[in-house]
Amino acid sequence: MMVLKACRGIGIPVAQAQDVARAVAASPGSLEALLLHLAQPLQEVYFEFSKGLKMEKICLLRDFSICVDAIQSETVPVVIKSQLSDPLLVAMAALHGINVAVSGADLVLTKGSAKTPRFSKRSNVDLHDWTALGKYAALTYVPETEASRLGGAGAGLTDND
Amino acid sequence: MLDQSQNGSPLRAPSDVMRLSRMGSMFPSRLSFLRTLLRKIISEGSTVERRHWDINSKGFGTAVYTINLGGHPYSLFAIATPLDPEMRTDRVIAEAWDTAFVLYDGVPDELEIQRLATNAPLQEAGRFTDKDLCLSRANKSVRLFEKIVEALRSGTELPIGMIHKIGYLMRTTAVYGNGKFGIADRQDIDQRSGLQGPFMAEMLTVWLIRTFTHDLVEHVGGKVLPKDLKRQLGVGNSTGLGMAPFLVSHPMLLHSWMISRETALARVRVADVSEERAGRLLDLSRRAAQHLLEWNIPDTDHQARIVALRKAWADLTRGMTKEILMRDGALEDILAKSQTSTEDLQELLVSWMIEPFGDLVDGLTEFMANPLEPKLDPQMSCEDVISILDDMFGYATSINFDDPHATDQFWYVSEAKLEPRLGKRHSEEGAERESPLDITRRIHDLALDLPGHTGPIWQFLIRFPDHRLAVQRVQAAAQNPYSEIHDNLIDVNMAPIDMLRCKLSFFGASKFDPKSQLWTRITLAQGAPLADDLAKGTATDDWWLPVGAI
Repeated sequence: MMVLKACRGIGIPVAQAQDVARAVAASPGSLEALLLHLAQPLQEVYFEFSKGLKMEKICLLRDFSICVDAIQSETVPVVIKSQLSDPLLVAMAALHGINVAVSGADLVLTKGSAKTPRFSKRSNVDLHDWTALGKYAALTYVPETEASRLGGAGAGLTDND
Repeated sequence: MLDQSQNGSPLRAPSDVMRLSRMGSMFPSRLSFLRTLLRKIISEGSTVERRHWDINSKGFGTAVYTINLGGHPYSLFAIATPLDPEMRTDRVIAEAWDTAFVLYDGVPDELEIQRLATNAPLQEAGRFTDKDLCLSRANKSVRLFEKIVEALRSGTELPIGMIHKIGYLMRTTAVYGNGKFGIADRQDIDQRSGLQGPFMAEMLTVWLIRTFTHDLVEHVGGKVLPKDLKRQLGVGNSTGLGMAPFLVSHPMLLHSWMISRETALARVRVADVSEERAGRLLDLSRRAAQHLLEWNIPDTDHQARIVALRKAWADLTRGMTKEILMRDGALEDILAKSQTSTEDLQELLVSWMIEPFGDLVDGLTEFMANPLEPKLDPQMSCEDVISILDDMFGYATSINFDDPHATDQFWYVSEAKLEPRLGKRHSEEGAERESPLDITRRIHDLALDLPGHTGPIWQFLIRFPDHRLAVQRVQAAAQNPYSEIHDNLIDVNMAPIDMLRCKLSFFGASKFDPKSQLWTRITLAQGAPLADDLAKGTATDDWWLPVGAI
């Protein structure tokens, strides 16, 4: 939930944020890499459809879903230009059964063996990382006002009947 | 999946069923989760053992109850502590309570009891493990608790009127499950017999809390309550906005709940009504009338609905006999007759009608859990998505979102309390941080951008990534037609209380007592079998719409 909120906090669309959250839940070790992506400014991605799909200046959090769609639609290979692999990308690829190969400065994504992700039951999260994640998640919270305190929540303040 | 061929009759249309006004008229039924749980407990011959009781004469201390279900022991740890009346609040954001509870996986030893005694009262601020399945807290209904204690101690008459009117000794303000605050994830237990259904661990927690409240008042009062009277004491609950987003963020689950109920109705409305079942329907119609008479609440608008429903129910059932009910098509005729009346009457009829047909409908509860989430079909063509929009989403595409009333409200999470709230978009700050519960508007906006595009939808989503959620929901609805609420959840007239009532009716709640459009009190497990009933083998699954049975 915190990952979902953090992604939404920087402007990642909801469905894509849900996908990132699932990947991190399945691979908690990708949290540190996620923080690096959350710090990146959102920029316009470049697409080219010729012999599969080529993408450049990808925002992993927002655009990886397109890689998944392309591979599921047999639009292969998917090449992400000038992209380093990192634990989050690997986690997101693993979630969808996608193989990642390094080709020079690029990454080549192809269909792998689909398998049901095993979500991690429990993991120790670094306090620093958790705090940093919380700051992005907080971008989805609305500061309290008198009106919201009195009207927006509902229940009364005491309960002594 | 549900086999449509076994339905017997067409299902009611989602365009009718999935309206907020109808969802806000729903009643508990034999498909409700508490009923399902109690049937399982009864069928297994499970009993409750009070393994630990360290409560002082003032009613403070700890207790542990253990029950075996599906081959696993589960224990309710309970702790009661003194509470300053100023700290007693219905709000989920409170920081202290009269009692706190943990549903424990197994049987806690002394060390674990100490751990739970330290952490359970802290609730959200406590530290929990994957042995802890549910976390809850409750406040006393102070007046009723004290009156009963006083009567028990003095040997004077019990406050029967208050017991019927209030219906519980304690009111929970939260029952957390599924990994909240460090407790076990649902996936740890959702394959266990008895806990596969939705919210089964939470329902078990609530039912065991009820047992504790009975024991506590008897302990402090120094005498036991009559069984019939005790059975009338359920568990109260205060439910606010926090529950409403769940229905929106779990569309596949909502579909499973609703289609199970609609399938039950479809099977029953064309079923043969035997003399025995006709007699049962008559008994239940009288019980429903009595329940409505005993259901009185302060809110004038909702009380007016109850009063109108009493009359409508009386009009519909007047002159009803076994012979009439046994005629071919009798139930269809009753449903048809109700179509000119209110949704309150129609939804009460649904619950009433399926009640005697356990053999036809109880198996449907096995389909009410659904772990799936909407998933994009990237190869579906834009034209096919447009076709689904045309066929199923007229309610969304016809809304004029340029009208300020259509966007008057926005859902958000409060920074101060981290709880869901509703704001007024045109007069309050924060709409830019809106929670994504505006599904109808998103589908509307998708329908505006999609015409003129061709090819697979995933290529459209390259240019319009913000529409991905809407496309997923539209595609999911094509296969799961009861997954979406057919209303605008940010409209000026949207009342969250309708969503709360729908969800709570599936839990098995009765005596809805709305305190505003944002929150309600309810009663759970009123009339349900007692732990004593299980021990004696006298427990029955006959507590739909509880009435004062004394």
